[in-house]
Amino acid sequence: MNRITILSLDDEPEVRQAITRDLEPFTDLFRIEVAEDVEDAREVIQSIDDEGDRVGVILCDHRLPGTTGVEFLIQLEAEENHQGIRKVLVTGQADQQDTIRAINTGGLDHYIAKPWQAGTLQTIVREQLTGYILDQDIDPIPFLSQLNDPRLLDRIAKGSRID
Amino acid sequence: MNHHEYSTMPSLVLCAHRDPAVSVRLREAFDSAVPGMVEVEAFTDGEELANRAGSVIAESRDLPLIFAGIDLDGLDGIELLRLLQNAPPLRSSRKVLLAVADETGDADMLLQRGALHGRLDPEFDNESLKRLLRNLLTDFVVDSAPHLIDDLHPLLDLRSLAGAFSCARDNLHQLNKRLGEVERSVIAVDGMSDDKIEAEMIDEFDRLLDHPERRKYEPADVLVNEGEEPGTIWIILSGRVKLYRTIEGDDVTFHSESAGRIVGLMSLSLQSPVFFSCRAVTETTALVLSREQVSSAIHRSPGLSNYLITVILRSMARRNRRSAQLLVQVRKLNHRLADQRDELAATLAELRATQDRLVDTTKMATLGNLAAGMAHELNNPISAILKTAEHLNQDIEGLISNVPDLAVAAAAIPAAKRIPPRSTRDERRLRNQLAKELGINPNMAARLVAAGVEDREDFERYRGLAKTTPDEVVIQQLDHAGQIGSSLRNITNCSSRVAALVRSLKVYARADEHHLEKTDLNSTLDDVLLILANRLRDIDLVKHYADLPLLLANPSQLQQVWTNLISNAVQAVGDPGLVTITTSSPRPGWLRVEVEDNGVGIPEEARDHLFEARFTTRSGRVEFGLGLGLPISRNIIQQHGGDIRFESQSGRTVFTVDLPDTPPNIPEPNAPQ
Repeated sequence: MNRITILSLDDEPEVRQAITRDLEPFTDLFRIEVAEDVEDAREVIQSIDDEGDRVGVILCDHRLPGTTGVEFLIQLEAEENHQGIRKVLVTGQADQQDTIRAINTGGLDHYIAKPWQAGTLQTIVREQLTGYILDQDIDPIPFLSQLNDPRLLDRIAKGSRID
Repeated sequence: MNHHEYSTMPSLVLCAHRDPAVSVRLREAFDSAVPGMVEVEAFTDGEELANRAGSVIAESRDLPLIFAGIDLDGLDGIELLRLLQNAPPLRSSRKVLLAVADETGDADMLLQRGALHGRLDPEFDNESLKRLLRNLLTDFVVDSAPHLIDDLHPLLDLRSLAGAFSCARDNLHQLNKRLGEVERSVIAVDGMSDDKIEAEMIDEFDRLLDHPERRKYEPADVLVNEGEEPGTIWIILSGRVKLYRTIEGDDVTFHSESAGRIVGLMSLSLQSPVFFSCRAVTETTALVLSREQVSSAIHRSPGLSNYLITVILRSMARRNRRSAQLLVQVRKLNHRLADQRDELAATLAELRATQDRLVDTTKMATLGNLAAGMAHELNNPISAILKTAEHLNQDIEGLISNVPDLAVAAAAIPAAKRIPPRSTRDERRLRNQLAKELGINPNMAARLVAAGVEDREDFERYRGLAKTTPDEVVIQQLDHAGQIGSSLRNITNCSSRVAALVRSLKVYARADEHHLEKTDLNSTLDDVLLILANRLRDIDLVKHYADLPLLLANPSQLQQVWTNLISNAVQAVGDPGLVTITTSSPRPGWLRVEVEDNGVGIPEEARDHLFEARFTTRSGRVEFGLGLGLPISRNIIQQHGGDIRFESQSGRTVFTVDLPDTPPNIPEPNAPQ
């Protein structure tokens, strides 16, 4: 089906629910998945890959059971087929050292500090999805109404790759 | 000079010349003058003569004369004489060059150096030989071989011998006389008291020097300073002086009682700079004598030098004894100093430990204040939030319960609140299943699952409630109701968690109060686990709690201990991490807490110091703001009349705390230790 997925990774159910709630504007066009730990996130990513969908954006907590979000993002960045995923850290706990590593070796695209504002989260997710669509050369037309980003229009105007 | 024992063998004369007749004639001359007393040995080789001369000396035989011709085998005569001159034992032997007058050449130089004593024409006549022998042998005998007088007297110049020996006898006589005087006066002095000797000595000086100068000194007047050149002696006639040295700015008295009555004599006799300064202690009168006066007096009166010697000896003995006493005192002082130094070091270490404890306590008090402030400030809003959630709940339920169109929502809100905690994996399974069953978008299915709808049957039940309402509306209501329900539940859950944290913080904040209360041991542990929840996420925690009676304790202080023990355990765990907390009652009236981890164990070298105030394996970092260290934990447990100990091996380290249910006697708050 080739749907683009937004994956939220956080070990606290209340936080997951709050993020899912804030992602509601994206539910029509995007697949939403949640995971409570890295193992589960791996499973989700596997099934997304298996079903022919793709992960567009990961919203990842830093403190995770047995590891850290930064560690996980660095792993993903090292995997060829997951390098394009837009990576966002949503945390109140990553220190400067962790953040520097996430940017330099984890391909971190954005950092959201907890507690967050719904509008801010949505804006960031929208920007990252737009970036992902442009990077991956995905037809932007279906996402115009949702993402409402002039960069998508530019791409259509240039008419480069649209069938 | 080595002067041999008298040899019983005849004296030896060596002669080296190419013409054997020379030695034959010499032998004849000796045999006729002193028969049997002198042997002559003949050589033609200078080197052989030299060797023979060496061996004669080794035999301790007298070798009064050596004759040497100029032209010889081996060494020539000149070289031979030079060689003999270089052998000190042979220097006293008289050497004669056998040569005619114009042959001597280098010999003049040898004569000057004492290597050669005379010359004899090899064609000598008896008269000239006798003259030569008389001169040389007489000198030899007087100089170094008086025992040969009897043997050789026919050949010696008896008049000059007599002169030489009478002079020596006079010297000897003088020496003996002087020795006798010294001996007599030493015997005379021996039995005399110091005062008596000194009085005699002063009389003697007065007599010899015509009443030399008396000088008066006021107390504290200085007679002489250390380092001055010697040249004067003071004989104390009345009053008292002390001898001292200035050491690092202080005058240190060495002799007071032991100073004696004569000052300056020691330096004078040693001819070295004055060693002790001397100062009058009382009003003092002294006889002051210059070096010249002293030596002229001594020269004129041998008895006086005896007095002086005796005085020096006695004064040295006194000062020596005093030095020994000083040495003993110094050693004792050193011992006392070493003891004091050890004591000081121990006190310093104690002070440091106390200071560290104070710093820890202060740190804790600051943190306690901070925690108390925070807890107070957080308490009101969090209570309000909790209440608000409850009110919201009631109001929403009240609002929609009377609206028939909202029947689905009215049922779904409480259902959503009651949903048990599920893993994301289970949520996903339920969602996928429901999406398939109802033929809806998985995102929507996820929201229905969150509203408590697990399968088609659940969904049908809600649709039944809605009667005529279309499916989309039912789904919409379920969606919103589910969100409302889980939001309300989340508010309640989260604010309860914060409220519990606040409550635990308040307990910490009271840690420095010394009040005891009936305390549930298990719940003090649970409070700590709640505070540490964040750090316990990555490890397995196993609790074995026994039903325990309440104990009389300060719960805040116990929590400090548990925080410390559990933090340490979490820090030490292996992989996978496991911490086990066990409570029990080992015997009536006693409660026990054990905190166990599966880490590598406490390093051997750290075990002995674990409860010492300065010891930390974590560079003194205050962990989580609350890690107080084992020393303070032990203090707290001991204040409760309990006991803390540990066992450690690889894979299993257990800290065990035993507490009585009632502490035996509780120390007053801030009681002096």
